Amino acid sequence: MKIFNVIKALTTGLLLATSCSALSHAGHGSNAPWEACEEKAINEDCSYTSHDKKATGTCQAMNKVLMCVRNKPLETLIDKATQPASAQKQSVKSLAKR
Amino acid sequence: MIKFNTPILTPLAVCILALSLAACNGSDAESTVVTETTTDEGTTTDTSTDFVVEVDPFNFESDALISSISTQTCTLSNGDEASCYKIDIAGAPSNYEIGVFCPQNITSTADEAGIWFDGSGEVYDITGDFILNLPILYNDSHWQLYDEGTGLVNVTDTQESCDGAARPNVEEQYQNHCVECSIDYVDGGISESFLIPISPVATTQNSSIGNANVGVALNGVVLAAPAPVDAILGAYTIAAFDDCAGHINLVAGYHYHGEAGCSQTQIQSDGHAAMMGYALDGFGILGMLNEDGLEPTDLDECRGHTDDTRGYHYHAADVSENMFIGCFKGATAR
Ligand SMILES: [Zn+2]
Ligand SMILES: [Zn+2]
Repeated sequence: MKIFNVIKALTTGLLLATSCSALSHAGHGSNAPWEACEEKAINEDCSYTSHDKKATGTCQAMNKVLMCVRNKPLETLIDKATQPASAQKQSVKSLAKR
Repeated sequence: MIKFNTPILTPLAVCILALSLAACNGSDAESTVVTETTTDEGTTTDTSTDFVVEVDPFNFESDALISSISTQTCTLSNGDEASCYKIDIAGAPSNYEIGVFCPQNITSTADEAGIWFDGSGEVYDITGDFILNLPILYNDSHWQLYDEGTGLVNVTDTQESCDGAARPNVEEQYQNHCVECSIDYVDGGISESFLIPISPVATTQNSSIGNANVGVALNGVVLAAPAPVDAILGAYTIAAFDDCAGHINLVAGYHYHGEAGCSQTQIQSDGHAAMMGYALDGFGILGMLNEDGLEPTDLDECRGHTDDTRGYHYHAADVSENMFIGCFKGATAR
């Protein structure tokens, strides 16, 4: 989220209703879809890697904040099938396992 | 990244957090705001939308609606006068019982609780282990969702605590809680009325998703905008979903934030993904994967494409992505 975007949001008068998420990505470690569009414009190509998978799509506004909306099938970067079962996370339903 | 401790933003943080959660609440008032603020920001795409398939009322499950679908004149977001269906959904799934949300203790298994997703590509069963691992998962030692003495998970298990936690300004006493609400608090579901153009009208510019609803599922549940997971996590809460990716608050009732397969009721005879709902622009939303287990490779930026059978239609994102579609290809009713 670039600071000028924040300033722009502050001046719209719509901040409180529409840009809630813009300022609250408080580093909880799951921001990849938003970070992928931080320096981009709407409809620009984007990609991000999360949980051993690569997502590719375009930047779209969700609740006035750009995030990467995937429109290509996920690519698995690491073949979990080749890892020992003990190395795989438990209690996680991964896209790659479907 | 903008942090809460950025000086100029600190005073705003609380209200922003509060309003982010309000988006999740999805009240009628908020819907109005978003309808007004949804803007055309997109560009033309190559997707052909010449062949238009009308909304079919018979695609909805019986009991999904609280009254017969009626027709009325409406004005679309592109200024066109059109005929719209008025669809009154029940606000509760017609085809299954709402499931469990939060685990009771740190030994609970996947069968004893629902799921959580934060939009980054994973779906977590909210097991006891998940509760224990939250400080590691989110790299923050302030996470403590259970009582160390008893092993019991902090759950908003009363209407008062549901109201205090599943609301814009999460009361401080409900930080570090797994948030859940009973459908009984909203009398079994909150019905909601939608105007959807009978014959979808593709626009030259896509429209962005605001913080209002995206569409309706064929089983009578609202398809909500992405859950404000950052704000939820910022309050050290988990707004638990049941296994169908729905959860409840006192304003919106039961609503979906992802497509978990529970409303894919219209099987397609040609092996295409089953249909699960309609977007507010009248284009159908199908599941992510076709019968062969593969996702279409030609989706546009809204996650839609066109074929000779269904015309333009969307394919929902994976449930882990906290969204259904990327934008509206067509005009929505004002
Ligand atoms: Zn919600
Ligand atoms: Zn399709």
